Amino acid sequence: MKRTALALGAACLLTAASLGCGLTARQKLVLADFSKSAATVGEATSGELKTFREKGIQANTQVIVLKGESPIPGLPQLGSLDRGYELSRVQPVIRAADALAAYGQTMAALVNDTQTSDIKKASTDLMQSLGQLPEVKAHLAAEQLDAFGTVIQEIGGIWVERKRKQAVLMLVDRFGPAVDRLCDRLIQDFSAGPTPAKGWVYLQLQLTTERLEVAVYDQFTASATYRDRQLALDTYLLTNDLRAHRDEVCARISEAAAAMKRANASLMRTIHEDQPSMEELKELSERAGTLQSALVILRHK
Amino acid sequence: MLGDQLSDALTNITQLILKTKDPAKRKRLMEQHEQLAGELQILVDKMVDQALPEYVAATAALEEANLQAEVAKLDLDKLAATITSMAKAIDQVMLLAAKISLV
Repeated sequence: MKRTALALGAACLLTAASLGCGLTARQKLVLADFSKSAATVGEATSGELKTFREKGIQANTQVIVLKGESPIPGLPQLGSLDRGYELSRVQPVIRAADALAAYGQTMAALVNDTQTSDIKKASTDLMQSLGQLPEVKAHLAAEQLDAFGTVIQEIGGIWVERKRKQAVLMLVDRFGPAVDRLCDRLIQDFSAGPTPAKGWVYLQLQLTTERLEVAVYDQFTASATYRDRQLALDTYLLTNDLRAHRDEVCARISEAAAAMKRANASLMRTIHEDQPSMEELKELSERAGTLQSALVILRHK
Repeated sequence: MLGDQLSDALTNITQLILKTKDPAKRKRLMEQHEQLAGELQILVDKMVDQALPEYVAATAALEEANLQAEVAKLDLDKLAATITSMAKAIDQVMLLAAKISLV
């Protein structure tokens, strides 16, 4: 691994001369914009998945409280209250979102005038997140990831504009394709249809929400007293909350990931130019902003 | 796509359950709702080969049942036909599930 890191470092140093001075103002602007949006989309997606799991388990529990265990095999039972939201299912997507956030944070740390310790932390998080993803592991060996992490930390930590530029460009060149694959995963998993077809996160939330809605309605119509109706309504609020997250958040995450895929492709294509393209960044920035504002409303209602 | 049709079928049945006042039909719809939920869970659990003839048949049957459900939402007198159509579609999806050894 050390040898790979040294070889990479040497290669980077050899090409450093051809890179001229540091990043141009336009390059810095593009990278800062992209990194901010990537961090926003990654953090928002990761947080939402944790919310989905928590609320999904609550909903499964309430359905059993209201209707008892289902006779249909595969649906949630007392021993499987997290059905549909198992860690094994949710965790890989959380990791993909965390990796996108870490990519954005590493890029931001390198572009901004950040301390060496911050760069080290951001790039360590990035390498750890990427190293756990099958999409990335298939294309980059663990040793390569470690080596890239070391090079970014060593070069990025040196307060020389030219070397920072070198580290940022290496980050984009080496990890841009991995970011592209992570975006594909989020686009598909969160899609609200019709293109691409509805993803598993959307379908799982729908399944949970509608089972709860039917159970609550049944309970509500059978209620004879104020207290019984009040209890049913308390559960109905959870249905409402889940539906709002499904309808307002899933499509926004999928669309933000699609915008990030386009912006990432543009970044990989033009970042070596002094005046890289900003066209696709505008859409990404808007999508990330829309996602964030929807979450602010949903989390504070 | 089968997932989209199953998803629409579940939504349609939910809406019909909330609309109908007929206890027998409501009970039958609730049973179908739970069956469809189970089938949707299977689909979410595993990627399905879309080239299978059973996949095509199940998607078509659900599409037909969803059209019937749209009509029944406007005219509850058509609910019995929807329930029959949905039952056929559920059987088709069960055939697909059996084919891919999921149940």
